[in-house]
Amino acid sequence: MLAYTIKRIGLGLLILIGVMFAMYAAVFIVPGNPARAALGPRATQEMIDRLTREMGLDQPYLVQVYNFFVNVLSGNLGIDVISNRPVATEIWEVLPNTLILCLVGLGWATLLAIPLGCLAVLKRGTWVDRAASLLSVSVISLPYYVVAIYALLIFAVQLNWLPAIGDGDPGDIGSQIRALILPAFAIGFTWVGYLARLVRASMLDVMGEPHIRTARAFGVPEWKIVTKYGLRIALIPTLSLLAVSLGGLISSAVFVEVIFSRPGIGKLVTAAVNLRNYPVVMGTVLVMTGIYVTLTIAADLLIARIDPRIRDAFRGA
Amino acid sequence: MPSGVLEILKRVTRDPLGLLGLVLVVIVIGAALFADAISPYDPARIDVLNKLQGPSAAHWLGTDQLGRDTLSRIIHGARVAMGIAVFSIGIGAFIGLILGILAGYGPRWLDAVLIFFFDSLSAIPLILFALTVIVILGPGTGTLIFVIALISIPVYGRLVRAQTLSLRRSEFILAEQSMGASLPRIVGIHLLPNVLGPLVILVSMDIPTVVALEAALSYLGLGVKPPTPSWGTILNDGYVSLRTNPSLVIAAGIPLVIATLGFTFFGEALRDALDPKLKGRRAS
Amino acid sequence: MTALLSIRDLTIDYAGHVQAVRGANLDVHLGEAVGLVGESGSGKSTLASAITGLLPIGARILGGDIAFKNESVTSGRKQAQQILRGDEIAMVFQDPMTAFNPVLTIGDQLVDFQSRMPGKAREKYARAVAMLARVGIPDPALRANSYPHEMSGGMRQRAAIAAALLVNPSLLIADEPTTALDVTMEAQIIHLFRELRQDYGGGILIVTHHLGVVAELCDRVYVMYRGEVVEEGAVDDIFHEPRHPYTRALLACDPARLHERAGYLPVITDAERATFMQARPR
Repeated sequence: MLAYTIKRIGLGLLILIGVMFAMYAAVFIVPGNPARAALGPRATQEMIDRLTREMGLDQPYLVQVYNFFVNVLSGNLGIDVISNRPVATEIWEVLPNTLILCLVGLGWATLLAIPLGCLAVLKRGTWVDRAASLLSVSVISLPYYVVAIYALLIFAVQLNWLPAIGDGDPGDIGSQIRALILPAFAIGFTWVGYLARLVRASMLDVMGEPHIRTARAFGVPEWKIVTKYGLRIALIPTLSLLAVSLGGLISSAVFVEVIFSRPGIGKLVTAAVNLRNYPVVMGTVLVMTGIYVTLTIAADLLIARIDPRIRDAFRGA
Repeated sequence: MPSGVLEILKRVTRDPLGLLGLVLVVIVIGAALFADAISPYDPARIDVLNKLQGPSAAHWLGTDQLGRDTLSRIIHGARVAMGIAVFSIGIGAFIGLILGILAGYGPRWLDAVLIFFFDSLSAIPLILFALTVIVILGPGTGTLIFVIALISIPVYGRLVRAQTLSLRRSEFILAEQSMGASLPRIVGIHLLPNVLGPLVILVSMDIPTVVALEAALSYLGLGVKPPTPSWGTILNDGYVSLRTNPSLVIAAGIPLVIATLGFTFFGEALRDALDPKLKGRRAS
Repeated sequence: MTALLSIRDLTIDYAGHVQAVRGANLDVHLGEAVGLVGESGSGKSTLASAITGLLPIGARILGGDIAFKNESVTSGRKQAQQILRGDEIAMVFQDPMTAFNPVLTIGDQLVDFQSRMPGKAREKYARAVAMLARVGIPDPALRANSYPHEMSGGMRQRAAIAAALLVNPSLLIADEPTTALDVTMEAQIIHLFRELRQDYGGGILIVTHHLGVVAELCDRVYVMYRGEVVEEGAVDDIFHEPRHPYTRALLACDPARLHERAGYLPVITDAERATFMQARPR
């Protein structure tokens, strides 16, 4: 298990390093100077040169990458060219907000989707199954930001039940929870369908396996076969597919934060892109990719915990 | 594999959802092809006197902040959405196809390199990757196509690689090899036709994602530049006037709902029609 | 003596066109071990799974009747068969690799398999450990806490037999119980069955393509060919005086019965097969 963990983390770090190399390569190859872009069309050549030097963009490619990694290891993600504050501080301030949003959004979706997927398998071939399938497909394909805007229009503007923007008043948990409801709904919306479908599909695979027949032959109740014998195994492919799709969760958080004007990574990065605030964009991408890689590793380790076969395969390795 | 396109369409429409999907897809593609002929107004015509109107006989879906006809803008938005989808998926699928065959049929080290490339590219959350490229290249239609094509490559590359790998070990390819068939012959006559089916299914399932992504980035002002009408910019116009004129934002969401649901239903039915093996898993 | 299990004129078809079982008759009495032999595709496994109502998807009973303790289980409500499962009837399946759930411990599953039995989970667990010891698994307390992949094939098959005995069934159906095992394991499992028969009073139905298993374990045997029971009788009679040509051919193919060294293993040829279906020995 330890060897497996180390191997997974090593691979994750490698991907992270690969991503940063690729992003620096992109900046280096593509014409146009980020410093010029950040300063706008009216900047003088002198100003541009100075900022270029400050950002270290006049250095050779490998030196830039090296400097970046050295800085990252000491917790320094560069300086925001607009506000002159450290990028790490800016990200750190809003990161918890985004994580809470993702967690709650994915959480309610999971709690709803797993029973829905199981129900579809239990009632296989009936109208319940078909309705659940139709619901899943529709929910997956609808753009969540349209759903977010419609929800905003109905519940915040027309009915005035919930706040339309912001993340609630500081220190007031009640208002913070109320401000979280609509964004979390919008984020989880797609995932209900996605997860229910994954659970159903992998569950149907599992239900065809011989050990399910054994359990049936011994008169184990069908609900127990589905929830204990089937779900435990069906969760393994579901989890690994889920881990691969977590990038989508982060993407949807970006849009939902913009729509609901909710402070977070998404608002930070979109504002930075509009202002061509290049260090903030780089820093955010690094942090979010890091979170994504961490989550996939966590999912893999969780899978190894659930499945004793994988656990043992790596015990000696 | 079914022979003709007509036969496939017949099977798609046998499924009620497939039929609904086909109808919606035809509406969207029709709007894109004949946008100039069916739009009641010029989508760029500004009429400030009639700005932010609700639905009426003159303007079925109302007007926006500049008095432009919403219906005409939505119809022309279909052209933008479809155009970007066709170009970006086309480029992405083509490169993915080549890289996938290279990875699956080429030497082992090349496979390892390409897999690492695919993994790294898809490890970055899609939106952040898009934002990075946009911040470097600057927003615009070209950037949008470039970004979407680039993130599609790993998806198609992986599928084609997996297909190629399994075909490579299949008996009819081994038999061809033992009879001394040339590489172009094996790739052209055996690999390509067998890889194309799953590729077509994936493309049809990918269209709604791309349409949604284009609108999303345009919504943020990072995609298609005004005054070119995009469903995303129209949605943002509606969002801005959410309190004064809610009909605009409602109207702006509809084409996105129609297009994404339509292409998804159609894609699902198409998959069932082309690949009966998968159908059992969905229907039973 | 009335039969424990009585199958009359049973016909089963797959997807509406292939008749897997045609007009089969079969009886199992209390205290008796009955063999059901035939080659792959002869319909023997389909027949066995019909008894507990666990037919594969697409298969259905067209006609005939299955009666257990004089009560029909096919004509009544669907529940009748389900109630029998894991209570009156227990099954041992072919492949011990896949017969157990891979992510649950053996003990956990043996407890669940007693779902029709009274008692608390703790008592069921103790019973399961005792039964593992009974079927010859060393260190049963440790093994109950093991996952299936941590055990050898032979040990898993012992555990599967333990599971079947735990519910104390009147009828034990073993579907190819030794097929997936190597020769040494097979001998051990056969030995275990013989030993268990001494204090087990119920009926046993052993489905197999291996005549050696039947010869070792059974009192009577049914021979199936292409969905029909072509021959039936006491094991000794059939082994010494087979009446149906298929049975004769089958016996001739058993490597254990070869008297002289042959260059190749005998097989049933197509020319021989052509004669089987016209033959009606009874």
